[in-house]
Amino acid sequence: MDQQCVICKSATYFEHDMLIRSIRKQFWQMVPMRLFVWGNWETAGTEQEENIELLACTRIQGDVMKTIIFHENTIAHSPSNRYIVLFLKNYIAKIETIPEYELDDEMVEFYISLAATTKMSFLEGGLCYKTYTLDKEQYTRIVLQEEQLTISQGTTGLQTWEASLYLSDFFVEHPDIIRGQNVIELGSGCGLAGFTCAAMGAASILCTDINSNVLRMLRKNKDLNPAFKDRVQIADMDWEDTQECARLAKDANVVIGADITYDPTIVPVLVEALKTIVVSSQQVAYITAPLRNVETFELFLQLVATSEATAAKASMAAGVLGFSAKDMPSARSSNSTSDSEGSHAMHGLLLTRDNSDGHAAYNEPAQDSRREKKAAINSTRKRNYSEYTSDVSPAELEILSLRKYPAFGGRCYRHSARIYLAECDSRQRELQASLQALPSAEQTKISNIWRSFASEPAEQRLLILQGIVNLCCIPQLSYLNKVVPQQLRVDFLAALPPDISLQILSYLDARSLCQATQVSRTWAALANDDILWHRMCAQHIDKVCRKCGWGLPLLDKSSRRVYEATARRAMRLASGAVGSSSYSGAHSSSSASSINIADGTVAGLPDSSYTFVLPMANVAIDQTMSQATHNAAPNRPNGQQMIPISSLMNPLDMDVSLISSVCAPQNAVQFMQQQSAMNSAGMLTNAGITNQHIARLYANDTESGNVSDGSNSAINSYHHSEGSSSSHQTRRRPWKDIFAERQIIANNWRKFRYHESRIQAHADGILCVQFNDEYMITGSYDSKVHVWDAETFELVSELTGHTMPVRALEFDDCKLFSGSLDGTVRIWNYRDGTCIRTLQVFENGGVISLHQQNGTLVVGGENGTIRVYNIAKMTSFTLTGHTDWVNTVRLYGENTLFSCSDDMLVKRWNLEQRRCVRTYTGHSHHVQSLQLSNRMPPSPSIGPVGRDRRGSSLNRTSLGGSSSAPTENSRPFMITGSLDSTMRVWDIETGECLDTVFGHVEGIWSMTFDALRIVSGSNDGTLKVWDTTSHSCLFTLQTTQAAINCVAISDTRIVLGDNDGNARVYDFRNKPSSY
Amino acid sequence: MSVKLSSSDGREFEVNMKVATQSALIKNLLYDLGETDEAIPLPNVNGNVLEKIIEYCTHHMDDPPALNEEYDDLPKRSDDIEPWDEKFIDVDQELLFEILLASNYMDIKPLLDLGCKTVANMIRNKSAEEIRKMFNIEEDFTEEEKEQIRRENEWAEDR
Repeated sequence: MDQQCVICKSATYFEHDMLIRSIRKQFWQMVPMRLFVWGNWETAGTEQEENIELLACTRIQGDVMKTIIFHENTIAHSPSNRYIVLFLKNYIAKIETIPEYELDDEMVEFYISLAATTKMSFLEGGLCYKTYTLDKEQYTRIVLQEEQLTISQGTTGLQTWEASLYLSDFFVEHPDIIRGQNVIELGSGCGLAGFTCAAMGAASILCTDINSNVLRMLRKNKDLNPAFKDRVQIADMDWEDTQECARLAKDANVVIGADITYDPTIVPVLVEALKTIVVSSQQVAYITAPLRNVETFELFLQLVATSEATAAKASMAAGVLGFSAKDMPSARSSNSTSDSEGSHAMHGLLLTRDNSDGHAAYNEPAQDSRREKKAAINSTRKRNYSEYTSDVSPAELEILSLRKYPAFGGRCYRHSARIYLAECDSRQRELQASLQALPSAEQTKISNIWRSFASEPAEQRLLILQGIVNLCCIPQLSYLNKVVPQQLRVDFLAALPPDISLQILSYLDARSLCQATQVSRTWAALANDDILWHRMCAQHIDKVCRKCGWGLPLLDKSSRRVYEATARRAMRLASGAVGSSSYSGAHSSSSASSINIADGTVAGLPDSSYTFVLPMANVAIDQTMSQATHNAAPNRPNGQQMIPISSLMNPLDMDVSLISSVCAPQNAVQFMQQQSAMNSAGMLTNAGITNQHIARLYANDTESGNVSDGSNSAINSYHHSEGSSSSHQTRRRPWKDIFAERQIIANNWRKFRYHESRIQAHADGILCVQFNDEYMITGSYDSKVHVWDAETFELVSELTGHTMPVRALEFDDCKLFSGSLDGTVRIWNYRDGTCIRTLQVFENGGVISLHQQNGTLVVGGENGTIRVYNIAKMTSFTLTGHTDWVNTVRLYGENTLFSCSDDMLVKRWNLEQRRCVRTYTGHSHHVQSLQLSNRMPPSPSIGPVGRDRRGSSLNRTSLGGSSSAPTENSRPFMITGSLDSTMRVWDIETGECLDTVFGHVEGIWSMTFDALRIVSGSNDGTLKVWDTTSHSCLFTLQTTQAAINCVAISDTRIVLGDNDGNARVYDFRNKPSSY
Repeated sequence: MSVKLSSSDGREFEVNMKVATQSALIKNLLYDLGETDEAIPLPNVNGNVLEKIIEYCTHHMDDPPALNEEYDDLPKRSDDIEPWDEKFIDVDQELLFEILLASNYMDIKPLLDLGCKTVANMIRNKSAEEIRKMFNIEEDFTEEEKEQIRRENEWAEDR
C-alpha cells in the first residue's frame, strides 16, 4: 500500500508523518522526557514497540529539526531551552542505541550549542510556552505561557494541570456541548480548558481566577491566541463573594472547572459558589478532578449532595462520568511533579440544577436526568465516531487528510486558507465519487498514485509532475491550462495579515475602495476601515489631493453647526417665544462656547464666514454676553463672575486678554481646553498633519465615543459632558461617512444639482444678506433686518430701528452690525432682537458698506468718505479719497483696507498712515463689490510649523476645486465686480489686473467668492457661478426677473436677495429624504 | 563579506552582506549574533521565494537607505514603480503572495511596498465583480446585504 521509506526501509511515509506529528504534539506540550512516547502517543500504553529504526531514519531526524525544532510555532512560542536540550539529548540517546546510526549534523550542532548555553538546574524557574494542538492536523492550537516550576509566586495556577487536559480533550471530543454557549470557567489557571472552549466554538468564555499573578498570565495568554481571543474574557472571581459570582455567571449556560476540588478547606466555599452560579435547569457544570486525594473529592461530592437536600426549591444532580484514560486517548499527563502514580483515573463531574419542584420525589427524576445526560453524552460520542466511520470511506479519509500535508515549506496558502480548504474538500469528494464508479482494482491503483504523490516532499512532487506533464497529451495539457490559472489565484486581502491588506488598500482611491467593499464580507470589513478613510479625508478635505487633483469642502463646521442649530432651535422652541431670555446660564454658556470654537477652528479658513474672520475673543465675549443677558440670577451655576450689563460695551470687554482675565479661573481653564481642542481640530483642516497627530486625534476620537466628527472630538465631548440640555447624543461617525457626505456635495456642485427655496423675505428689495448654518440675516429697503432660521427659513426675529433702507450688514455668533442709509450703524443681539448700541457714523448721508475685523470697524459712506473705528477704544478717523458712494470696504491684515466705489475706482489704504496707497483703475462703471482672496496671513498657532520645511505647505493656499491640476500660485488676489458687466482679478501686491472676466450681459450688482467658486448676480436676474482658479463660468442661472442685489456663498449653498424682496437659497446638499 | 541564508526547504544561499542586510530581520539578527559562519535559517521562506527576494535585494543593494516615511500623510502613489521592479514583480499570484509574506517576515520595506502597490494596481478601477474574478473570490453577501452595500457606496460612482 504505502510506499516504504527509501532510507530506513522500516516504515511508510505515512508512518513517518504520524510519528513526527506525535513527537511534535508532545514536544509542544512539553511532555516530560520520562513520559515521552517515542512512537504513536495516542496508542501508547498498548505496549507498542518503539520503532527505533524509524526514529533513527535521517529523514525523520531532518524533519524533527525542520518541522519541530524550527517550526514557526516553535520559534515564536518556544518551550524552555532546558526542555529542548533534554528532548534532543533523549532523542540522540535513542538513535545511538542502534548499530551504525547516523546523526543529522544540524541536529548535533544545534544540540551542542544550545546545551552549552542553557542552565540545566531543575530549580531554574522561568516562563516558557506550551502549545496544545486540538486537531489531528495540528492546525488548531492553543499557545500558553506557563511557569516551569510547580509552585511559583505563591500559587499553583501558573502551570497547566492534568485535569485541564482531560477537560480540554473532553470538549474537543464533544464540541457540541459548548458550541454557541456562554461558558464560565472557575479557577482557570493558565486557561487551557477555557481556551479550548473558545477554540471549539463557544460563543463566549469567561475565565476566572482569584490570584492576581494568574490573572496577569491569563491575560497574556489570551493575547497569544488571536484566533479566538475576542471571545475570551477574564475576570477576578472570589468564590466567597457569592453575589459577585452570581453576577459574573449570570449569562453562563455552561460552567467548567478543572482540578478545583483539591483543597478540603476551599471545597465548601466552592460548593456554595456553585449553588449561586448553577441556578437553572438550562445550566450544566463540568468539573474534573484527578483522584489525587479521594477524601477531598468525596467531600466535594458529599457537599454537593447535601446542598441539594437543603436547597428546597431545586435539586442538584451530581453524577460521576467515568472518564477513563481509554476514553481520552490523546490526553496524557504532562506534569512530572504531580499525579505521578496511577492517578490517571479521572473523575468528571456533571452538575445540573433540576428545577422540577418536587420535594421528596426529586431524587429519582434527578437521577434520571443525570442518566439521560450521561446517555446523551455517550450517544453523541458514538455519533461522532459513526459519522467518521460510515459517511466517509476510510480511503477518502486518508486522502482528505493527506492534502493537509502540503509539501510547500510547511506552509501553503491553498491548504491553509479556510475557504480554499473547503473548496479542496468538495473537489476531493467529487473526485472520490468519480473514483467509486470505477472497478475496485482501478480505485486502489488511482488512490495509491494520489497518496504517494501527497506524501512526497516538494522536490519529489515537482519531479513527479514533470514526468506526468511530459506524458500528457494535448487535451490533458489543455485541461491543465484551463484549471491551473484559476487555482493560482489568491484572495490577497483575506489571506494576508490585516496590516498588509490595509497597506494595499491605502494605495486606492475612494471609488476603487467602494468597489472593493462590494467584493465579499472580508473585503468589506477591510475596505471600510476607519484608518483608510481617515487618510482619505486628510488628503482631500479642504485641500487638493496631490495625487488625484480633487479637493473636497471643509464641512466639519457646517455639519456640526447644523447639529448645534438643531439643539438651539429646540431650546428656542422650548423657551416658547422668540427672543426670550429663558436659557439657563449653564446651557447657554456651554453651547455658546462650543459654537465659538467653530469660529476658532475655521479662523482663516474658507467657509461661509469667509468674508470676515472672528478672533477668539468672541469666546469670552459671547460667554459674558450670554451670561449677562440670559441669566439675571446672581449665583453663577458654574462659578463665573457676574459681569454687569453696563460693562458689556465697555471698550475693555472687547479686548481678548482682558476678557479672559476677567473671567473666573474656571472659565479660563475652559478657554484653554477649547483652545487645545481648536488646535487639534485645526490639524485636520491643515495641510500639516503628521501621523502622530492623526493617531492622537483618532485616539481621542475613539475614546470619546460620542463624536459626530473627528475634528471636533474634543469639543463635542466637552459639549456633551457639560450636560447640554439637548438629547442629541451623536454617535461617532465613520470617516467614510464624512468623506461620502463631502463627496456627494462636491458631485452636486459639479453636476449642478441643487434644491431651491424661495423666501418672501421683505416687502421691498433685499440689499444685503449673510448666512451661516444657523441663521440667515437679510437687510432691506423697508428699513428692517430679518433674522431667519437657516434650515427652516422661519422668521426668528425682526430688528427694527433703522429709519432708512438697510444697505449693509455683518454678523458673527453674538452680534450683528447693520448699516443704513439713515447714517447709522446699529449693533444688535440678533438672537433676542435687542439693539445694543447705535453709532451715528455720518451726519451727511447714509452708510453704504461696513466691515469689521479684529476690533476694527470700517464704514463706507454715501458721501465718499470712509470711517474707521477702533471698537475697543471707540475712537475713529476718516479717510477721504473716493468721490462717490463707497460700495464695499474690506479689511486686509492689520493695517490695510480696500474699498471700491461708484467713482469706478478701487483703492488700497494704509490705516497706520491713514492714506490711500494705491488706486486700481480699469472698470468703466460703478464698482459694486470687492472680495479678497486669501485668508489672513497664516497664524503660526494653527498647525505644526515643521511641516513647511518639507515644502508641502504648497497645497495650503491653492484650492482649485475642479479636476484641473492645482496651481501652486499662492499670491493673494482680489476680484471686483462692476456695473460695467465685468469682473476684474487683481494682484493685490502689484496692482496688476490679472484678468478681466466677461460673461454677464448686464451690470454686476453683487459678487462674492470662496476658495472654489465665484458667484455673481446681475441686474437682469442672472446668476453665474465661476471657477475661482480658472475664472471659467461653470453655470448660469436665470433666477428671477429682478436685479440680484446681493449674493452669499458657502460650501453647500448660494443665497441671493433680489430687488423684489425675495431671498432664494440654492442648497447643494442631498435632501435628507434622499439618503 | 558574505552571509549564508537557508530556506525552509534547506536550500542555502550565500549572499553579499549588503544584500542580506536589506532585510531588517537579518540585519538585527546579525547585530545580535555577531558575525557568524552559520547559515541563518529562514523557516518561513521557501527556496524559490528566497531566490526571488535575493534577486531583488541584489538589484537594490546600492540604493540609498529609504527615507523614514513616518509622516505618510502624503497621498501614497502606486504608479511610480520602476521598470525593473515592475518586471521583477510580474509573477503569478501565488508567488506574489509568497513574496509579500516573506518580505513582511524578513522586514524588507521597499519590497513589501512594491508588492502592496502591485496588488493595489490589480484592484484599482475594477468593479467588484471583476475583482472577484481576478482573485477567485466567492461572494458571500445575502441579497439584502448586497443591495445595502451597493446603496451605501453608490455615491462613489457619481463621477
